[in-house]
Amino acid sequence: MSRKQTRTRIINISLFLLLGFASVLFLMPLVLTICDSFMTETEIFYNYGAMLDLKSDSIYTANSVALKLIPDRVTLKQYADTLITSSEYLFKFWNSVILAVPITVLQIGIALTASYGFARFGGRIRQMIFLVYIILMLMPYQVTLVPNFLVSEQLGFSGTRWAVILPGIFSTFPVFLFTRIMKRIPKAYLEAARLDGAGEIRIFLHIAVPLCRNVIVSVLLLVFIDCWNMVEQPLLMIDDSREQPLSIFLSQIRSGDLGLIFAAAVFYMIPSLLLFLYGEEDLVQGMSYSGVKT
Amino acid sequence: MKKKMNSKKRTITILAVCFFTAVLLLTFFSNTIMNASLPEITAQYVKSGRIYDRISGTGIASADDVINIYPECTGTIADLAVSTGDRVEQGELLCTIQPETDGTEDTSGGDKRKAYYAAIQLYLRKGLTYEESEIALEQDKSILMEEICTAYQLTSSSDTVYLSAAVQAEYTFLQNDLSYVNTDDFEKLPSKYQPEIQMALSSYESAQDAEEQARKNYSKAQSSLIGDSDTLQELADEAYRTRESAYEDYLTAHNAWQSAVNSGNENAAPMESAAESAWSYYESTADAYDKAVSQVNKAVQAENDASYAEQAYETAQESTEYASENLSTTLDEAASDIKRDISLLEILLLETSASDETLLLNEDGTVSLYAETSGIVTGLSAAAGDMVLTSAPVLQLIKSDSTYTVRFNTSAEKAQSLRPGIEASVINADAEAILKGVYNATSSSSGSADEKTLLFTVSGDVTAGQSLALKMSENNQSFDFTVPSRAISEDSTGTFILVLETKSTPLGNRYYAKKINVTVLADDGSNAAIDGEITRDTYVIVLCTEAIQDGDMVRMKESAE
Repeated sequence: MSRKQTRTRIINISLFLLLGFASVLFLMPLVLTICDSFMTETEIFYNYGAMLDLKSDSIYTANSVALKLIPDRVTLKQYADTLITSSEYLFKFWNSVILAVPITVLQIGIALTASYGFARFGGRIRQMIFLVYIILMLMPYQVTLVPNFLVSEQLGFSGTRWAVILPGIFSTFPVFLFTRIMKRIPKAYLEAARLDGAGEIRIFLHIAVPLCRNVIVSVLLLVFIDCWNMVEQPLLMIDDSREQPLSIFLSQIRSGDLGLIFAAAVFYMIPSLLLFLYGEEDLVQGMSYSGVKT
Repeated sequence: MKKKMNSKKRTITILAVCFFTAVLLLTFFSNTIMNASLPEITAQYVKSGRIYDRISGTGIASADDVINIYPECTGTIADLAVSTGDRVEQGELLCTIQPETDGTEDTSGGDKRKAYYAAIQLYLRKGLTYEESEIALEQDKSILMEEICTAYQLTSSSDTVYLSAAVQAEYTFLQNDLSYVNTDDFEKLPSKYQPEIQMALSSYESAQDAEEQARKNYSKAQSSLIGDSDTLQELADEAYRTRESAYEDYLTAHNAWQSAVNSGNENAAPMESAAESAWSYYESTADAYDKAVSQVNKAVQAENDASYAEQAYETAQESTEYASENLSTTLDEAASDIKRDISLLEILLLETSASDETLLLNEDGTVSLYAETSGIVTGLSAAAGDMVLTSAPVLQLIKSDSTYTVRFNTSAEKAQSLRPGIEASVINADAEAILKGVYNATSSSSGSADEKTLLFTVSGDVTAGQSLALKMSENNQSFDFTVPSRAISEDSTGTFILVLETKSTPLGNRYYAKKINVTVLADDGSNAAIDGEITRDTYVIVLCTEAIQDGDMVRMKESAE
């Protein structure tokens, strides 16, 4: 074997190990969550009580944390408590659905129309507005959290779900992505449609949107996952705990029952997982399309 | 590739639909599923009412009148005639003691002691207690001593020597007096008995004379009877009817004669004769009737006189009988009086013939110990063969009519309004109790600093050492908020109740238990008056199928159909 081949092999093996390690690192939390959701409360307290400084008079806690993949005793009690015994977590799940689905659908809709405008209509004003969009996109959402709270309070829907939904549907990132892909649509398609008598709405709905399908799916995926996992917005905007999503409960890991949190987390990740598996190819294609230079 | 991708998407779509459908079904049926596992509660609204706050407690009955029986000498118990729990009568033998003798004892102690107790019994029959009998005996002895000294004009010096002779003489006189009573030789009795006896005797003799006179009168009245007044009355009635008939005959004859005269009938003259004959007959019948009536009156009068005489005779007999009883009673009292004096003298004889320090022995050399009062033997501290000392009681007697005391502790707050005299009922015995006093709980008892000891006097079917449960109603007030006592719980934060809180959800109402701290104002064991952040609309959880805490979800009990 030549030196070049050997070197190549060493590089590959190193990369393999590195990536393997990284994969394990990334997958470990997920696997742990799934495995620990089948553990009994006693075992969870014993293994993880020291990490969270949990003390109980009747349950023994080990002095150090032990990451355990295979439970000593498998039980479905956590799932039964989450899904059957108590309906609290089911209601929180649907609260998440009530927040995530409208935000996702409306955000996509508004972003598509905005991006069509940015892509099809020129002018210096358009450029200035698009620049503002980009600046806003670069800002972290925490910056706009307080102004959103004040506006919602002024408008009178502070403390309700609308305080989360309405600010959420106006997002700049989808606009940016859709604009890039809209610009790639050949003008000839649009001109031909116009010549055939189609109006702008028909051109938008029947030509522009279908051509952006992959990007739409990828953006939908990203937006849904972002909305599904949001914590700060509902925590700040929604007063009634009965309307808060399940993500808030999962974030309060110290106050809740660990076993329940593991089970609820597994249950909570299923919609995201299913959606990702459904749109996996579209996500890859959409990201690649949006990255191609126009 | 595309086909594979479509198949994969189809599978994921199906999985997603199944997942969301399952979650949807679980959500819709979550209430139903969850309710099966929730604890079931019984609740009621807070309401106003009266609370009969009761104080109750349990204590041991201890007798009030406990008498220690001490032996008269140091010695060994020869025989124990009673055991713990035995009921003894006054004067009953308790035990005999073999004393540690020194040879100076008087062996006639048994008879003397009996005589002494006999004198006590005389006073006990008058309803005096044993102590009062002893005091009365002492007083009578001193009076008797004075009488004897006065009668025999004794001087102060050497009284004891003359006293014995005088007592002996008086003893003889009294014995003679008693014999006079028995032989009805009244006049020989001492002058102090004479007035009453003479009066009774005089009454008796008068009664006898009156009876005799009444008897004579009755005999005379009996002999004056002339016949049965009813029979004579019948004869008089018959005579009356005869007279009336004769008169009618006369009228008939007279009218016929008048008619004849008026009509010029030639037979008028015979008719006149007939009329005259009728008239004569009428007059004779009238005389007969008058005589008959007179006879009747005389008979009635005689009967009345005889009846009065009989009643007077019976009354005289009763008077005689009463006078005879009176005379007998007077004589009996005199005899009783004399016998009492004899007993007193016998005691004097006993006491003057023995010194106070001499031990009175029975014939067998033992000393008998008798019960000073009727009661129940408790605390028997010696057995046959044991050594006893004069300083230590042999046993204890609880008097038959002894009352008992019971005590228990209660909170100072409840005892605040109690006053002596309040009645209490005894739950587990046929007895009654009255609050005697309220005292600070002693440090040696189980009570804490904020507790009071209640002392009750108990009477009835109670024995010493018996555990008695008492309860008394202390407070009776109206309160705005009352709940069943079992709804109240306690923890480290104090007294609290659990109330029902309702939260509405899209799938129905949820019920939660909420803790509210309250203060118990009064409690009668069944209901309690409370104060706290409650209103009339507060729905209090009274019962639950399992232990619940603040914030726990519960379900309402299904009402019976």
